[in-house]
Amino acid sequence: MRRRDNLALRRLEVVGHCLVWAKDDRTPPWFFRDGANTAGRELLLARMKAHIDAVAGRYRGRIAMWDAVNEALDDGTNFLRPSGWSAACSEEFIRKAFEFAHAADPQALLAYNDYNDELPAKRAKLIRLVRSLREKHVPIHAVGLQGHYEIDRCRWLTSRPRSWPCASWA
Amino acid sequence: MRELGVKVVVSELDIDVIPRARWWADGGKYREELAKVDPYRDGCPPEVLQRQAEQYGQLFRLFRKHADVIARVSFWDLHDGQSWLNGFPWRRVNHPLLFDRSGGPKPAFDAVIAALRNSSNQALPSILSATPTQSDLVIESKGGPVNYKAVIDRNRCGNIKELHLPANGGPVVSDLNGIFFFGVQDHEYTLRGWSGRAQCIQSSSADVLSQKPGEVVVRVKADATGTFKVISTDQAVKARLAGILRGYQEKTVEIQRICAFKPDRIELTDEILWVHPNTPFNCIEWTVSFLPCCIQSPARLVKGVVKASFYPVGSGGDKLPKGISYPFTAENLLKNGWKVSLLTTGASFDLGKSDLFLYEGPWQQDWHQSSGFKYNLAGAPQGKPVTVKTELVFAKATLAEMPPVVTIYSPEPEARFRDEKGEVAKYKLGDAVKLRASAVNADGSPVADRDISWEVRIDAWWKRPPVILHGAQGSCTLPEAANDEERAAARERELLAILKVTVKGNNGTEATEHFAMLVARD
Repeated sequence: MRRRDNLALRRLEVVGHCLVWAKDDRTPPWFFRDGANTAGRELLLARMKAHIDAVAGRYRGRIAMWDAVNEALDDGTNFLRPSGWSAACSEEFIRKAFEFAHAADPQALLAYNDYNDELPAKRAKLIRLVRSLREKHVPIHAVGLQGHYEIDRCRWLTSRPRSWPCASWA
Repeated sequence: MRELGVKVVVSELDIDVIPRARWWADGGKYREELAKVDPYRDGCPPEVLQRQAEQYGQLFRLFRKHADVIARVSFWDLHDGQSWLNGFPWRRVNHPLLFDRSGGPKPAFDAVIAALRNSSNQALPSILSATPTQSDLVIESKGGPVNYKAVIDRNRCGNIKELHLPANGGPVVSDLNGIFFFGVQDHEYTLRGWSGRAQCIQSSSADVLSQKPGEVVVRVKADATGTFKVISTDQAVKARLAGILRGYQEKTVEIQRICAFKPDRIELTDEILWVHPNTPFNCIEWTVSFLPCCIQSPARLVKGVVKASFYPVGSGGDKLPKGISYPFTAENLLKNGWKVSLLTTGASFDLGKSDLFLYEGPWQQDWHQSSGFKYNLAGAPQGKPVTVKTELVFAKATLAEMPPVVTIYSPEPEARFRDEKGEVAKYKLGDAVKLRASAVNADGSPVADRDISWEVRIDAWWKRPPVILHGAQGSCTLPEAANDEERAAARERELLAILKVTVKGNNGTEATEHFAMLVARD
């Protein structure tokens, strides 16, 4: 890890992204399979633990903050995004990801990361998730707002153009 | 998120100049049309870049306003040519970041910098934040000319077990606010306790009382006990004390500490709220312990102009009168060019009998250096709470006050005393030891050879004059035992050799550096 060591000399912090990306197209298909069957809860959690131990354990003590879980909330009407993760483990996989990550690297701060958190419906889900994790004493230290904004559409900012520019090309 | 006790991170920031939301609208029916949209293929019009800059500025002013809960802002790549938005959700030439395709700053970059400075173009003061972890509370002061990080141990009486100054450097202090309490009762028994020691703490909590960008206030509450040692040899006294001392061991003192973290300083109000009746309690020591090789020379003592008797401060914390300069300040100069000043700003009792103390010596990890106050409680009213107020002020050292920074290369670092079981001595009496040090003046120039000198002592013979050598390097033979008494001492135990380098700086300052090492027994 030459690059990381150089960064340490320059006193830059390294952020790890991400241990569990809770989308089916971002997780290899074999992860959810057990031979011909769908992998059950225990197998899925064991695989997750092996992955987190290997990755977070390798960089133990050298990562300032890990995005422990990425994009687990649903954009539609569900609470959690439908996926192999939520189907097998419901909210438990999020809890376990934080616990495994904390055990693998106790010094790293752990974040839950997602997009569109500024939209009221998704924000409500985010608060519900963080509250639930905190009540269960899950080691979550931060929430990552991805902040992929679009010009003229940051509606919560104090001042904004009087009229939304009508994109002639769209 | 503040109420839920978690930080906010803006983790993947960019501002797309070719809005993409319609890609997902109405079941994706605009996708074919949108996939052909690539309006800024030949560059982004200045008015669009200007709008983007204004909106970046608004975002960062908003971030600044909530800086106490925002742990980090990071961008999703460095320049426009690298952005994922050139290919997501359709291929187009995009301009979402602060730097253009040639790596040059865009108007958005200037807008962000302007948002992070105030109107007079001065750097803003640091922003304070508090982050709880499993057992600690991490306070950071960041973004201004002075920045630091303090780690508070919630389970050990709010002991600040790490201070990083500057915040992104390594730790320089191992115990920033240790309270030792001592007492002797009629020559019968002694009491000793230390707030940083787990065995002394019965219960401990640390809560954030208030949090603003300019100040974080933490309240610590703890019940502590000490260790008691019977010094009387009278059997009757010993028997009588056995029962009494068991009772004290349950709880000896109740401590409350209010720690106000400000951009460049920590203001501490420590109160002993309650003391077990009849517990001997004569003295509190309040100590800053530095990590080995962080501090250069002992602290400078700055005596106040006015030798004032301290204005009594009740446990309610009345304001001190202005205009009194307090007599105790210790300025600890760090090798990294920073300075920790330690001063008493008030007490609930007359400080006339109290002392500032400095300690240097081989202890625990190598050469230990600390400075602190020894508060003599003889003048404190019996049975009333005792309060002391202390300030730790952080600053860059000036060129005039910074002593030369000294590094000892030989003896080799492995020979350093570390107070660990099974440590092997690298040298024995009669061995020749190579000495080599270097020293750099505050202005960066090397110190001349003639301004460097060494003193070598063996601890059993501290009465003997030390061996003295001049120059940055040389060789010294560890003296052999010369008489029966010395020979016996050398057989009985491992000895300690203390090497001291004294360096004169070109700004009139003087630096000392110590090296302690074990010497094998005969």
